[in-house]
Amino acid sequence: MSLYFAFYLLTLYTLLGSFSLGSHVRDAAAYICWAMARAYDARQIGTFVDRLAPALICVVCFDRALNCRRAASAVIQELAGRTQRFPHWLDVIGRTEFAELSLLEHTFLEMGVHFATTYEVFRSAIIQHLVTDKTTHWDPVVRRLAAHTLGSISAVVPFGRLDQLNVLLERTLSADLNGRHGAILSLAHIIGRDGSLNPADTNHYQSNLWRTVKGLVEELKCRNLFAGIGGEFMKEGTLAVIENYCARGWSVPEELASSWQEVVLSGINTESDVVQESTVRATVAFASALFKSAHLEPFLKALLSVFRRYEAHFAISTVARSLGLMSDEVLEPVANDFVLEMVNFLRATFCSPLRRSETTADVVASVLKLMDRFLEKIEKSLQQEVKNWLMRALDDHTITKQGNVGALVRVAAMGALNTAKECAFLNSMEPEQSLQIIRLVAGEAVFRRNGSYALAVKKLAQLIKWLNVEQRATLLDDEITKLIVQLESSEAIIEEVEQYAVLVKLFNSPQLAPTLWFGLICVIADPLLEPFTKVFVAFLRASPERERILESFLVVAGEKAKDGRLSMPLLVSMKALLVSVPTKSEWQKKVATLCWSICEKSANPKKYLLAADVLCTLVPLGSSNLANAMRYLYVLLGYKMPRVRSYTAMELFTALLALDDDDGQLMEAVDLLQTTDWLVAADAKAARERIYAIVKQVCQSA
Amino acid sequence: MFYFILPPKDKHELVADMKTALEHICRLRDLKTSGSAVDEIAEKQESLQESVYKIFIKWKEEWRFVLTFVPELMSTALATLEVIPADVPADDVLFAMVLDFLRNLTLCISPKRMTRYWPTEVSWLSKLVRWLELSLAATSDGSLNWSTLYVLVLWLSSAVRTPFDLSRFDVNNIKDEHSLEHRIDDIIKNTAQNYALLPVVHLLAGSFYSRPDIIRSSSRLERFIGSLVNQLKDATSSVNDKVCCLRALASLLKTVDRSTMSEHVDQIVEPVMTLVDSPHELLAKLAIKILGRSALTRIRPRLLKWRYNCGKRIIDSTAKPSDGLKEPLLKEIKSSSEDALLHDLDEKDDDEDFDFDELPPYFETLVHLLLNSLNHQSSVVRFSVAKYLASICSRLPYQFSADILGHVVEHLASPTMDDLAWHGACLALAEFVRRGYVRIDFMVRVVEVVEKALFYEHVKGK
Repeated sequence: MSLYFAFYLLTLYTLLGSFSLGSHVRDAAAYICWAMARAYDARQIGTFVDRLAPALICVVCFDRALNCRRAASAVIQELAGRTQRFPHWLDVIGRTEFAELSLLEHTFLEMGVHFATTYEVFRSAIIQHLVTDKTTHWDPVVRRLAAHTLGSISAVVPFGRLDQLNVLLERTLSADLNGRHGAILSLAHIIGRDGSLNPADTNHYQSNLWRTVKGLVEELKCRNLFAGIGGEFMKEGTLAVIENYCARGWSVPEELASSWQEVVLSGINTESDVVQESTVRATVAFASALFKSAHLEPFLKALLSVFRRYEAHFAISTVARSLGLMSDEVLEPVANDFVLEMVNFLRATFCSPLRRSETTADVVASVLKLMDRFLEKIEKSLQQEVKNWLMRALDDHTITKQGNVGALVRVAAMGALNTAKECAFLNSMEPEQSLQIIRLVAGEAVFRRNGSYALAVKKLAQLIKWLNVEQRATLLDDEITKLIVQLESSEAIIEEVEQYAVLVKLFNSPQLAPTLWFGLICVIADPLLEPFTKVFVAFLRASPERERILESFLVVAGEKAKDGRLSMPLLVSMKALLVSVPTKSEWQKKVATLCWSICEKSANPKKYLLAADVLCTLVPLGSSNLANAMRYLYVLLGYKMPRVRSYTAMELFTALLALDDDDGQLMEAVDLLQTTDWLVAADAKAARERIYAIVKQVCQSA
Repeated sequence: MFYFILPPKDKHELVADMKTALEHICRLRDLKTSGSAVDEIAEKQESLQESVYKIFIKWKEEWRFVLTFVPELMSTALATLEVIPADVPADDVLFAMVLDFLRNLTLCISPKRMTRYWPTEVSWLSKLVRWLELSLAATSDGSLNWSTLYVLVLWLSSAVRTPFDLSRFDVNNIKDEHSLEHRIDDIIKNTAQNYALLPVVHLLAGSFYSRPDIIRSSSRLERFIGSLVNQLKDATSSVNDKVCCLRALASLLKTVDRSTMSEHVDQIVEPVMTLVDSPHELLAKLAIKILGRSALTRIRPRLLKWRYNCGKRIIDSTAKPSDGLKEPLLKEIKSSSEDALLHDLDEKDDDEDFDFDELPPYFETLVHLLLNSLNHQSSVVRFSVAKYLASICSRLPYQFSADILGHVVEHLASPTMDDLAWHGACLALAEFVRRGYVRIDFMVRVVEVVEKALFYEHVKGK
């Protein structure tokens, strides 16, 4: 037992805290410097300025707290202005002014790198500070930025012979988790950027470096550091080493291929977002480095098995994203297998309520990219299936507890669709299929969702450009084509409302109109998008094709009457169209019938309220509508839900008042509507019988 | 400077808000001057006051821009008050609303900054005192119409600074309980323990007891200090009472003449020293303030020969150091720098000038207390300690000051010092440096501290 504890204590790694105190101390220190600049003679504090200048530059560029960076900036300005001994003060003041300090990424990667690479006087202090303080910082974001900065500096100032390299090498296996993570990441970035490094070099520093790199994975594994709380950091660091090493074009040493493959595969199975990002980059670089080696095939098979074994969705997501970035020569032999596996995955999960939509989106995007690149290598039957999946992905409107997750898939499918003239996949499609794609993309553009609108408009313009002249002529007239194509550049039209005014002109095309309605009714139903509704109404009022467009609305309404997502927007749109666009009585009659078919047998009381709205809007529009609407209103006035009865009575009261009733025949009905207590079912039923009889009589006499 | 420029949108908003406030006060003035019925406005009193409060609270952050509107708002409010008689009834709605308006304005731009805007004509003085007495009489605890009291006390603190002897306002110059002096004294005593009036009562006490005629002709100051000290010593008094007492004492130490206060300082220091360790932030801060001001009262101000003097600043000379300076300017700079060095060598003369009897017996304890409070939990207390340490050093001979400075620096050498100690020490050093109390030869050690403090980080938690 005592041996067990001794072993435990020997391998106990310290995890320092997750937050720190001290920004107020650093701020006060800057106050001392500021006070010195203002109270003392420039000639006497000159030596101190020389001494403090590199430290102040380090604070202004690399302090985590914004107030400290700003305080240091104020000190630099005071010292430079009063003493003028601040090194390179003309450049420093301009680069460290107040507005430049707000983003940590900017101060690290732009300012810090500039001062270190341009001025000898700051260089050693900056490198020393980054290596000792920032790569051991408690905040992982700062460690990552510091490592990245060191990499960028090493591109100009080779680290091959610097002592700091040894410091980092020693810290790769230190007890302090933060320091270890920072050191490994820094080494990775230095390996990736430092032009003086070469695995074949045998000088003291470099041989040390390569020995450490080669033994890193084994050492970490022996110490069980890939597990536990710091395991994700170690994976991230090691993956960065693999990525940067492979990206330099150096071949993977034989003895390391299997252990590095193991690390990459374990990264694929790690849920952390940061590790997944690193894994995608490392997978791509590692696969390229293995090209023409015997290890490539096992590695690709291992990636394939991720799909075959139905591993966690995030793992599949990582592999799918990697595949999209891999080079052609690596993927070519196995493209068909990957497409097959991904289609299998889509088949199994696309309609599942438990699906992870981000993964579905990644897989769809990856499949489309592979299809475009390796179309000839893919089996014909598979090609057809992928085309069908593309349609389904573009029309995915899944809504779950997480929200409108279908948008992720639609955006991924649109984003991955190559619309260049010579693109193989799109060119292989049947005319009807390509037309359907244009319909769906146009529908998405008219749908006007914040996440997908800009992309949809751009893709639509590209797709219209992609069509040949005859296809284009059958679809749209020249003027609209020209306007749509201009939307891609967004130079001619800037205002979104103006852009939308061009989009709604697509309704003139009989082939596109039905699909566009799906998006448009949602826009009409959304009160936040009222300006766009107005644009459409203005178009429709002026359009000579108005009747045909309204007819297509009826077709869509008939198709989607029982659709859970679209039925309520349809009712709202019906009312909006009746109120704002001139319509014929025949159309109004059909609307009444459709309106009832939408809400009939529904358990949702909101639908009945909306239906009452539509029917009561119909009543004053034409005398023939009264009898027709009353058939349905009769049901609503006696409906089992009191709220529906009273709401319908209120709406009908307003509608009847708006009717021309010269004889005063309807007055009794109006009084009944006003005086009856519609919340009492028995009273309501008696009253509706009387109202129905009166209305019937009026209609007959008319 | 561009941080203080208001965007056009906000500017329009400000103008609109101030217009609303002005309309509100003009409406009150018109009602008062025309003598019409106020029933309608009385019904809406609370909502109107609330809307004015919201306007001024909204602009509290940007109080500088409100300053330009203050004279017009004040003159309109005063026009209303002018027609209100001295014997105003306690339930006068317009009077309460006008004073509530002025309180909201005061909250927006702070009581201290408002001092310059109050009218100080002698005609207001007796009227103000009468209004205050009536308001105090209307409510025994002062909580009901505290906003009226708040404004009147603040105004009286400005009005009471009149250069004329207060006895000249009394009939036949008789000093009995009806004399103005006595009545103001009573008002201060009645309101001194009112926590709601904390921000203003100390200003009134400071203005009143620092008047030469009060100091010369009566023992009111002594009695007032005695009552405050007794209150502090009283174990049963609440924290709020003690805060009120300390605030008033701090004001007295600042405003009353040094020679007068030095007689009373010793009795103040003793009870206050025990309050420095209080967990109540404001109490501790005020205790530090009083201790610092007490020490400053005991030691007379003097010209520091050893203080660093950086000489005259000449922009031309610093702008082009390498272009060759004009001969006379160069000489001036050289001589000023040399002066600074020469002053560094004047230690012996400096010690001879200093009268060691000036230092009170508890001086060492007091300085220790201040030094220990440098790592106080609260940052406002640390700021206060740093300020008073530096102020005290400005009246001490070089050796004493160097000891304190040395202690602050050595204090940080200990590895057990936490971030609070580092912060306090850095603030103290900054104050010393800002005032030029650090000699150039000691600056090396300060820079060493700065180099460490610039990268100070104390990791915590898991």
